[in-house]
Amino acid sequence: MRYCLFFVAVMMVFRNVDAQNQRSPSIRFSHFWNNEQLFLDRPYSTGSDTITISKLKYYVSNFQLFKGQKLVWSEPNSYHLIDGSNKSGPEIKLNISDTMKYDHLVFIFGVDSLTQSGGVKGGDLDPTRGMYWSWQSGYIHFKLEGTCTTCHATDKEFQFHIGGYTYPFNTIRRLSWPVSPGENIEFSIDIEELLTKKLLPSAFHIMSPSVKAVAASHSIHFLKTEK
Amino acid sequence: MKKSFLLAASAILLLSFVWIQEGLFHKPANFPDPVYNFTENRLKQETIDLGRALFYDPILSNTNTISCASCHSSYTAFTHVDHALSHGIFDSIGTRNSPALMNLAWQKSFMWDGAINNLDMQSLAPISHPAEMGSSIDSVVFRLKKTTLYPHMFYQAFGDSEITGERCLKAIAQFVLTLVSANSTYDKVKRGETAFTEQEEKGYYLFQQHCNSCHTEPLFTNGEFENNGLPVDSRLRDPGRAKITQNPSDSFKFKVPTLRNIEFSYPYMHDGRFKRLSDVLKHYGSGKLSSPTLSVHLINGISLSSEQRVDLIAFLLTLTDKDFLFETKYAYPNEIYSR
Ligand code: HEC
Ligand code: HEC
Repeated sequence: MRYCLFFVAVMMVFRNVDAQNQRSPSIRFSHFWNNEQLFLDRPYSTGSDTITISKLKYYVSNFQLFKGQKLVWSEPNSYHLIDGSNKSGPEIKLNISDTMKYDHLVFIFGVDSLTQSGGVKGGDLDPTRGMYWSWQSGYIHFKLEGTCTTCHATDKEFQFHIGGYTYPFNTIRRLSWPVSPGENIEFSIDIEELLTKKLLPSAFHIMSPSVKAVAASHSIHFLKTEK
Repeated sequence: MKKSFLLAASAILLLSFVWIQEGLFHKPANFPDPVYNFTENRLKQETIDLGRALFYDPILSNTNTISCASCHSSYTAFTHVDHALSHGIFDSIGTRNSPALMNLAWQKSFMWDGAINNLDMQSLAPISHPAEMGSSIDSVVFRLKKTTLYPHMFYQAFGDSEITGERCLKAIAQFVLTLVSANSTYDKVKRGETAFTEQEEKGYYLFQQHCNSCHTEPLFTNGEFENNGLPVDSRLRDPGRAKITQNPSDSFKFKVPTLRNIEFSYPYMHDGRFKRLSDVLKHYGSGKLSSPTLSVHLINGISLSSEQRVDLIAFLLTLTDKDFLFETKYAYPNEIYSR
C-alpha cells in the first residue's frame, strides 16, 4: 500500500514537470475601431466628429476553467491590467496540463470585492498603476480617455473611469464562455461601438461609482474572436 | 501521538506569532481583537521605522513642505491643533477637520464619511488631494528612489531596495498601527490600578447613560455612522456618509469619533466648529436636536444641568493618556534622518 502511494507521488511529480513543457493555451485581449485594430493617439473620424483615444486600461481577473459545474483550474494571483497602448496586449498563459478537460472559461471584469477591501496589493494591482481612486477606496476597473473635436464636452475631453465594487454601484462582471481544450483564446472589445453608441451619448465624464458607472459596465462587451 | 505532537507544534507556532506581534503591537487586555489583518502586513521594526520616517517627511508632498505630521501632530493625539479645517500645500484649506489618530487597528473604515475601506489605502488620499499634499503615489515613489536614505531603509524593511507603491503604503500603515492609546486614567481604573474621584464617577455614570451608545467603551466609538444633530454648515454643506453611499438616508451622518485624548484633540467635530468641550456639551445638552436623519439614540434629547456638564467633562478628561501623547517612539524621528 505504502509503495503504491509512493509510486503515485512520483508519477504526479513527473506529470507536473511534463505539464510545464507542454504548450499552454493563451488568452489575448485586443481592441477594435471600425473592424480594425485600435491605435491610441490616432484620430478617428466618425463622420460628424474626430475622436482620439489617449488611454485604454482595464482589469480582468480570476481566470478559471470549468468542466461542467466543476472547477478544474484557477490561475493563482490572477490579476491582469490590460493596456490598450500595448499592441499585442499581454498574453495570459494557461499553465495547465495537456490532458486537462474543460469546456468553459470564466473570468471577472474588474477586481473582486474581497481583494478590494483586503489592503494594498503589488504587481498589476499596485496603486502606482493609476487605477486606484485615492479619495474613495476602490479600483478603477476600466479607464477610457481621449478627445473629441466637435462634441460638447468641456475642453473637448472625455474621461470614463468605471469602477465600484459594492451594492448598489457594483461594476464587477463575471463572464463565462464555452472554450475547447488547447484552444488559444482571443477576446476583443469594439471600442468604436462602445464609445460612440453607448458612452458618449450619455456622458463625457464618469468619475466615480454611480448609476452611470454601472450602466457603462454593462455596455462593455467582450467578443470571443474565432481564430 | 502524532496528532498531539502536531497540535503542540502548531500551538507553539501560533503563540510565537502572537508573541512576536505583541512586542511591536500591544493589544490592551480590555480591548477586543483588532480588525486590521496583520497576516497580510506583518509588523517588523524596520518597516515601522520606515513608516515613521515617511510620516514625518515632507517629501510626500508636491512642494516638499507638508508631511503627514503637519496635520497630525503627535503632541495633540495626531490631530491638527488650532485649525478647524486642515491646512495643506500653498496654505490651501481643506473641507474637514483632521481627526486624531489612535487605535486605528480597531477601525473598520476611515475618514469622517468612511470613504476609505482599509488603513493601507488611507495615505493615498492626503498624498493625492490637491489641497493637502498635491502629489501622487507614483511621484512619491519616483522621488524616494532618488534619495540616499530610503533605498536603504526599504532594503532593511523588505529585504531588497525596490521602492513600490505597495511597500510605501504598507510601511506607513505599520507605523500608524503602532499608535495605540490605552493607558489613560480610565484604563487604569478599569485595571484596578486607581479609582475615579467622586466627580469623575458621576461623570462616568452620565456618560454611560447618554453617550456610550455611540462612543462605546473601550474604544469610545461604535465605528458606525450617526447624525448627532449638528446644524448643517451652509457654507460647506458636507453630506457626510451620503457622499459615499449616495443614499439620502445617510445624509449628515459622520463616523463616530473616539473620545480618547479628547482633551487635546480640539477643535471638535468634522468641521472643527467647537473649540471647547463645554461647547460640545452645550450642543448635546440643548435638548432640541432636530434633523430628518437624527440618530435614534438622540431622538429623546439629552438634558444636562450645568453641574452635570462639569461632571461629564471631568470624566472625559480621564481619557487623556499622557504616555501616548509623549511617547518618544511616535515623535519626530531625528535619529532615523541623521543616520
Ligand atoms: C493637509 C492636512 C493633512 C495631511 C497632510 C494628512 N492628513 Fe490625514 N487627515 C486629514 C483630514 C482632514 C482627515 C479627515 C478627512 C475626511 O474625513 O475626509 C484625515 C484623515 C486621516 C486618517 C483617518 C482617521 C480616521 O479616524 O478615520 C488617517 C489614518 C490619516 N489621516 C493619516 C494620514 C497620513 C498617514 C498622512 C500622510 C501620508 C496624512 N494623514 C496626511 C488631514 C491631513
Ligand atoms: C447618536 C450617537 C452619538 C451620541 C449619543 C453622542 N455622540 Fe458625540 N459624536 C457623535 C458623532 C457622529 C460625532 C461626530 C459628528 C460630526 O463631526 O459631525 C460626535 C462627536 C463628538 C465629539 C467631538 C469629537 C472630535 O474628535 O471631534 C465629542 C467631544 C462628543 N461627540 C462627545 C459626546 C458626549 C459627551 C456625548 C454624550 C453626552 C455624546 N458625544 C453622545 C455621535 C454621538
